[in-house]
Amino acid sequence: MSDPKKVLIIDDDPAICDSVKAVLEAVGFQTEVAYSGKDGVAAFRRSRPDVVLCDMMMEDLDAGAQAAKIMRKERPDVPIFLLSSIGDSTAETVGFGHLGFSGIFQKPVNFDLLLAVMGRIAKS
Amino acid sequence: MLGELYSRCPDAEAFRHAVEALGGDFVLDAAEMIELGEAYFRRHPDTSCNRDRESVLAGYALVRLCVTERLIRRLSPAEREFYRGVFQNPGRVGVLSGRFSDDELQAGLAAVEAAMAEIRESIEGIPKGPVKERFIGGISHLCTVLYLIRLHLDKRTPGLDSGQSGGGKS
Repeated sequence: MSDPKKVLIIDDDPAICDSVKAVLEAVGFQTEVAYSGKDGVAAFRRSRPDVVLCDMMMEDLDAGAQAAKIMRKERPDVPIFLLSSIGDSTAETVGFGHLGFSGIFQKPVNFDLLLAVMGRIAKS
Repeated sequence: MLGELYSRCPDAEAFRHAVEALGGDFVLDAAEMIELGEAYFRRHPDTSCNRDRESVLAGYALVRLCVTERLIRRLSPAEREFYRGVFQNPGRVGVLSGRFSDDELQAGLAAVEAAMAEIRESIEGIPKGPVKERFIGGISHLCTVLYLIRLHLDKRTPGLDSGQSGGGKS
């Protein structure tokens, strides 16, 4: 990848941030991590990522949604994906699209799928 | 068994020593997961309006400890150390895997992935709720590290490339 895309990972579990960061960097992405929704928004403004991967339940139960709404409003063109421990059907019920997310990856993340999506974004 | 063991141990460090001493020789089916989860929540009560981050991370650590010991139970001592090391520090996978041949790494990883598939099936048997959430959150990191090891192995042995590593390289 000649111009590595930058991915912001927001999750209050440092282990998740470390492992997702390691996978993304292994395939050529640049990464930045933040451990709360509030810090994630600050990192979003500072580092201007091309893609965001964001957990939902952090300092507040809906901290991910709060952060996504702010990021979506400031830069609507940036894809923001929810990394969720809740079931797919539950995610559909709460309407992740209305919460500011472009899509959802259920934990444990299917990285074949995630990397395929990221690859398409990297080419666009 | 694990729930009772957890309740008897005064802190996380004592529990870690006790679990590691078992060498993975314990049952970790859905019923045991629920029992362990209930013991954990007695010590770390969780409410919908009060989500304490340290307690949540303690839950994930508890899950990772027990699952890791089950995953590596049939491996050699050196391989056990490798998996414990990379689960702690995924960024060191390249360095830590250097002591194994491609075949050794492949065989060990296949065994661990098979054990993880069994664990995931057991988690499916837990009813929706906080116990299940802790187990999913806990194994999520471990699954990602296993993917990372697979990526690393594919890079070492291009002939085995399963196409998993193409996402961001174009």
